[in-house]
Amino acid sequence: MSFLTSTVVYMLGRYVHIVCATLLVGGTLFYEMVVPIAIDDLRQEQQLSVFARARWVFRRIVWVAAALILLSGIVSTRNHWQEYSAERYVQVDGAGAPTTYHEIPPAGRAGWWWAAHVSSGVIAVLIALSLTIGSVPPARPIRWMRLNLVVLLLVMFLATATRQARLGAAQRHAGGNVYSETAER
Amino acid sequence: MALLVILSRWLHVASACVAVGGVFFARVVLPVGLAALPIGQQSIALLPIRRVFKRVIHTAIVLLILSGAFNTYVAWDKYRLDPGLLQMLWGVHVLLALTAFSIALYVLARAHPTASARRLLGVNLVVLLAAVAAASSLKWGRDKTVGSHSPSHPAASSVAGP
Repeated sequence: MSFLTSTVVYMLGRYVHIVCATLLVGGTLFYEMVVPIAIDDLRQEQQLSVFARARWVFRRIVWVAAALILLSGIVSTRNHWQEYSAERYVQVDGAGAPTTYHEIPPAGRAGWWWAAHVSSGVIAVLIALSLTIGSVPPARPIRWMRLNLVVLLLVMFLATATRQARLGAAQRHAGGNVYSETAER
Repeated sequence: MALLVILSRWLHVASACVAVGGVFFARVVLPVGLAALPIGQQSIALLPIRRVFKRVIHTAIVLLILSGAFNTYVAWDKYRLDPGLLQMLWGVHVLLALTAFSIALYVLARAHPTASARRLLGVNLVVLLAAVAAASSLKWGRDKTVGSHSPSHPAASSVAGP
């Protein structure tokens, strides 16, 4: 893949990933916080009708966003896989000098943060999908949405921490000629 | 400091998610849901929605400005490495965000929605998505510039054996 194509694909992937996250997080917040307050004064059947129609539209958004967020996540992961799979850095101190190995501390390993981000992200997407699958919403949908909102915010925190760990590892070793290296030598 | 940077970035992204997702929900999903109600009741149901939406958006705007100012302060040295590209992208991002804030504040300023409210929400959604695109490009440009200025640049991104 040429530099231009890979850059465009990577940037598009990042953009799609963020936009889909905004739709999931913002939509969930709106659905569980704003709509119930708004329809509180309506009759029971009117409340159900508003909820059902909003859910019908929101379902399509959730499904499309879930598919795109997974695809764009794969693109982004593929792009950063070297950093995620590095367990130590090899520092070549100069001609003739011995090669030194620097273990990355556990909290600084981008791969671990990435794994936490991906696993919690999959849980959040599965909860969102399960809430919109079928013609009848599950019991206590608002409570589930509230839980999913908390999970989604955690997923975003883990994404930020992953990025910080990735940049931090590179900066820590920026003093010399540094190679990221996976476990096998 | 690292934790503060992570928290500030998280706050910025979370607030952006709430703002963009909220505007999208209000513009696309909510009208379909409210169409189930008679015309008179639609406008009655819209009033409490506007009240809650206004609080959510105002909070998101304050958090976006505060966390954005802090993020800029932290990253400004990196923006100096390639001012032509990075400061231009930063400027576009900030201008688009300020435009979106202004539209949101104008639309939600009155107790009752104006005739143009729905159209303006649609415009605001486009502006917000453009602001996200500018932010995404800015981050890409920053990472690329910092990588190319690092002393370890030729090898930093390559996997090699000892």
